[in-house]
Amino acid sequence: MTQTPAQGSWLRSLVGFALFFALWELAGRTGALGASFPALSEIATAFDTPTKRGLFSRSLAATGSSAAIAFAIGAAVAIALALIAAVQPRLEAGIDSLASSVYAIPAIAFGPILILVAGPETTPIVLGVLSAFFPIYGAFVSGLRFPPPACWDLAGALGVTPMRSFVLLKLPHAMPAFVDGLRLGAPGAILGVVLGEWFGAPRGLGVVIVGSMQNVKIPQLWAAALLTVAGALLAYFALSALHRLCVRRFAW
Amino acid sequence: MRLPHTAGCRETETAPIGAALAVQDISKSFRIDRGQSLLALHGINFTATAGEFFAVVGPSGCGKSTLLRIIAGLESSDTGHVTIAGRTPAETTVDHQLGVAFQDHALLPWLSVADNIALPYRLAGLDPDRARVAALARLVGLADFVAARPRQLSGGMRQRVSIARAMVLKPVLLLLDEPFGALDLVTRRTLNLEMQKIWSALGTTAMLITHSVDEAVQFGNRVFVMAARPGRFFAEFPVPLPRPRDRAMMASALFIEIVQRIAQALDEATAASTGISSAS
Repeated sequence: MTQTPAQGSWLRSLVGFALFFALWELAGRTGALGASFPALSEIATAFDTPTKRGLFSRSLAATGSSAAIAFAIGAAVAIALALIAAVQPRLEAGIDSLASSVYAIPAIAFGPILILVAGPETTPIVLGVLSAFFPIYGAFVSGLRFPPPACWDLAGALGVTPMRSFVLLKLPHAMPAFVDGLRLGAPGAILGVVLGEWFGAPRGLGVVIVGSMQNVKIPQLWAAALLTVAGALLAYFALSALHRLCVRRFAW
Repeated sequence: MRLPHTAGCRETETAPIGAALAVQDISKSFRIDRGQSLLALHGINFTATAGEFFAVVGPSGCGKSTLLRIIAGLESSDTGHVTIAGRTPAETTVDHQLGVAFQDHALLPWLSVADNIALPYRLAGLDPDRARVAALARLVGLADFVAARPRQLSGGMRQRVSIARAMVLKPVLLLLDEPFGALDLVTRRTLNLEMQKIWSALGTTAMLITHSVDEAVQFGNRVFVMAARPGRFFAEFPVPLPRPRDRAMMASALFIEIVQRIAQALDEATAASTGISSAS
């Protein structure tokens, strides 16, 4: 029986992951990378009692819901500003500068101030919004900015109103770029929320990470970090699948 | 005055729907650097009668496409004016009376062939005439592909969709900017023959920009030769050949003679543009 290229690719990926995890386990058990690098089996002990599992499920729910809210707000703001920039070219340069300035804010320095101003519950969401907003805005606005010139000429020769050509030509053309921005923004929202939780949020994976670090609970620290990474990767790959569909439909 | 749209598409209709075109004293320059400007077109004058098909050939950079864009209302001229059935290009485009096909077919990948052909209806805010869309798909030989997406078509098929789309609103003036330029020779020849049939069926006024003298003679009632720097009309040739101009016609002595005369004029126009003689 012969393999298709897709089957071969999956098989290679599986073998690669298996090898990676085996090496990790080996390095952890032998202590080759130091005491703070546990084996995978040791990290798994972070979930071995109902109490520990309860901690992680509550933290995951808190981080997940904050990230979802941050992603939704970041995407909504990015969409609104990109649309305003596209239909009001005179405002475009100003909105671009504003977006770049927001992106340039160092979250680490800004976090403690946010705790005082916005409160510990809201700070993770604010930092999540700041992290998610810019990639979505940047990708969407560049997709709207560069429609194929021939399409634009076609609209011009047909005397089409700017709004109609925007809806029928520019907007669909920008869809792949927009979804590309979403897939970069979603992991950004998760990482922004976790960072915000470090500054004193009442719950969340970021709180577990900081608490585990301070109490030298190495397997629990790794478990929380890996859950965060897994959440970010899951969001990225889910939106990558949507991006592939979008490219297949809206791009050449 | 709004010119009427006619519902449906009769493939055998022969009554011209085209508009007379008048181009008077058109000049156009482009700013290139620090107050310097390049005179792209100078003193372009010509008229075309309703239902006429004329072609424009010329060396690269002589302003052929700029002239087409001015006629289409996509660029403004510095001097002179264009009238299409007595109206400005802007008035004509507002009434969606122009059809344009470019070398880049500009099909929308997210729409089917039928929806791409019907796109001008949607852009114009009109309800698509599905019967006319289907008739045009038949006319360009794509009746079996109306549900296909552009990426599933060959280059020649995509260009046929683009031509059908250009004609769907029954334009009074059809502007073709090297629509066959990116195609291989065999596809191009086949499409040339089909395009003649399509134009004969619709009877619209048409302007073809091309680099191919053969193609210009095959299509045009007249062929204009342009020279560059500045872009201007260098010579005009009537083409007194009967239609359809099929492959047998293209092998005739008269066709070849006209092609040779125009090719010679094109060489002279190129030499006048660059100062380099083709004989040297």
